[in-house]
Amino acid sequence: MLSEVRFEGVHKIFGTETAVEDLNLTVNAGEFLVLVGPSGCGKTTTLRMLAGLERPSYGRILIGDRLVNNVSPRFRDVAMVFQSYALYPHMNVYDNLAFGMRARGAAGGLIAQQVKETAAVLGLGHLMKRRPSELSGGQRQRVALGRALIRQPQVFLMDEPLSNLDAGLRVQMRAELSRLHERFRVTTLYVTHDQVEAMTMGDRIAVMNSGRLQQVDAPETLYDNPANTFVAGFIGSPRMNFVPGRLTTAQGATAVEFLGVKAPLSSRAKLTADAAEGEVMVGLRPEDLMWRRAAAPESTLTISAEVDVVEPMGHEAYVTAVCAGETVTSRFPPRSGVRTRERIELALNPARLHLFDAHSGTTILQRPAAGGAELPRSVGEARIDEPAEGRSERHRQPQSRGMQSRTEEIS
Amino acid sequence: MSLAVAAGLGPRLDRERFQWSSLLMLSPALALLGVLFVFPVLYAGYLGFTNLALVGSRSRDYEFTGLDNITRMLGDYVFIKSSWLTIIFVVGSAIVGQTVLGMALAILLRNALVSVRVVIGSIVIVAWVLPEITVALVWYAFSQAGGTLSILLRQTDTNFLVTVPMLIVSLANLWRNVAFSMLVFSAGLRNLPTEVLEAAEVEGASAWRRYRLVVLPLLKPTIVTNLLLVTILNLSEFTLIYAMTQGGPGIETMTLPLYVYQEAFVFHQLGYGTAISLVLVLIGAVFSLLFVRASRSQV
Repeated sequence: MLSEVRFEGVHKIFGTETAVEDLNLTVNAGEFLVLVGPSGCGKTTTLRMLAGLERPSYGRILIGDRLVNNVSPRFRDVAMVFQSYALYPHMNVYDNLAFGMRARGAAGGLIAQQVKETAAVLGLGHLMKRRPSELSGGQRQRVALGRALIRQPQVFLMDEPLSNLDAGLRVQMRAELSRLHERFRVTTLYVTHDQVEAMTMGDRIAVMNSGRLQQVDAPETLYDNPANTFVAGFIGSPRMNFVPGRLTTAQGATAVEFLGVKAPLSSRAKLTADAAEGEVMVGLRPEDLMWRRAAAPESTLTISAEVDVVEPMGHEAYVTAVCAGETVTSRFPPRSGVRTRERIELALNPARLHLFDAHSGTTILQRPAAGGAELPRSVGEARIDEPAEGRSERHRQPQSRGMQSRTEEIS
Repeated sequence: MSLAVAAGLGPRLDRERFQWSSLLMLSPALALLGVLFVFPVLYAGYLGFTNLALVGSRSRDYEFTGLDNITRMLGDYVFIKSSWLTIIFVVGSAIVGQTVLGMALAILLRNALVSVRVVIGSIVIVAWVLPEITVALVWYAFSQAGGTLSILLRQTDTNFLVTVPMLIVSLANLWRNVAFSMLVFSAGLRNLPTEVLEAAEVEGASAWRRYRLVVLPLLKPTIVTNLLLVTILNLSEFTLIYAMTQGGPGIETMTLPLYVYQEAFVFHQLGYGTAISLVLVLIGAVFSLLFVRASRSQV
């Protein structure tokens, strides 16, 4: 059974600390929603409130149409995967998997069959007699997943389930989780601080910071149209460059000056009405700030800079350069041969600029999504001030498309 | 690297080391331990097989009497009764009472409101901090004819210290010592992995099921530690019982420590008293072994 999950005006206050502030968020039925943010942003508290391990200070939490504020975790029909896995250390794998079904009074024969099936799905068949202490990290992770899967709950809750795995295993389990979600289609709320996990796994991503929801959108939308400097800086690696700039309007054409260059704004991009002049924050993704010699023809702007650090990654290199007193990071092709202190020319596509209010950090430029430039989109001025929830509803992409891209990735 | 290959590399560099000079540094401590601990224990073991007396000619000219003391014990009605009383006292008051009640208090207080936790916790600990003699007096008065207990039970003519002396003494001891077990279990509970308990809750297990299948097994090391300490502490309990009953009425509360005291210092039979105290040590050792065995069997 698929159930949607709704947070309506939810606050959580610990002593004098507000962990979660006025959270309005809907996880659609069957959706894989990733809740991402830095440590202490309130994402785990949000998850624990949904599990019933914390009670919200204000607001309503609904699973399906049922208000669950005062429902004990036992009766919420949710399954949770903990960061530490939280396996029962004194029980073997079989008993760990069977615990939840036994607690709910399932028949012995059914339990044995379900445990067997779940173990087969996760490749745990040969480990049934082992205790958690005799398993590797990846195997424990699978048992924790199996313990959640076997119950066929209404909602899956995952609290950084991959963060204790080594890098290789994490990539493998990421794909496995996506595959499992394709197969069972259970509504999932997945908490992580890792933006790569968020981007690769989520149907939609909800970004939180300091207890407040910043933006909820499909991964590509979030990447192309971050709502504010926080989201822009958090999603994407290396981080987006932020440099101060100045908006000017002459004869109806708006341009932005930064790093000693002047960029006309694309005619398709729209500005919020009250931001036509003055100080702004300009955001440049490292991949949009290229080496002149490797740049595509659309990158019409040229910026001169001095190389500070070169970080070769193998398939590419990150070059940190100083330009007009600002430090910016740029993505270079591998083996470019540039060295520290060398003067280089960087190329920039003006259509890929991000503009943010210099004080509030909210975006003042709505750009057409990459690849979807032809799509006519009504981008009104008012949308910036809308709550994140309202925006996400409009940006939500057809489910089939999201599925498509994820299946491609894992196959 | 296989051991065979490693063999060609000469002596291992990470072996445990021992320096003879360390003995010199340790000698003062070793000497003190020897004189004040090892020697008295061995000497007591020897005295248990003599006819040493506290006063009179035997106090100077005592001799080794072989198994005489043991034979005497086996025919000594008071000794046999006293041994049973000791076991009842330790099992009832310490092992069952203190452990069960201490654990229950620790679990209940863990989930209680902070104010309740502070008040109840303080009361329990105050009972523990009170001098034994005070506790003895309080419970003595409590259980007398016309005392609080008799009024509560509407039997004002009954002196419960006469009708059920062992029960009252055990309860007094439990009342005083439960704080110890409560503290041990509170610490044990605090160290349980929170997420494991939360996982069990989210999985739908009832409170009783979580307690039985998750908390209790995980608390096992704490339970064993508690049992060991509580048994050893209670086995030698003297002051409280002596102050309340002097072992009476008759010999109804004459546990082994009281019997040792009576034989050695009232009847001046030091040798026999020492022999009895050796039995006390033996009982303690048997209990300890059982607990350690039990803790190993499943972990």
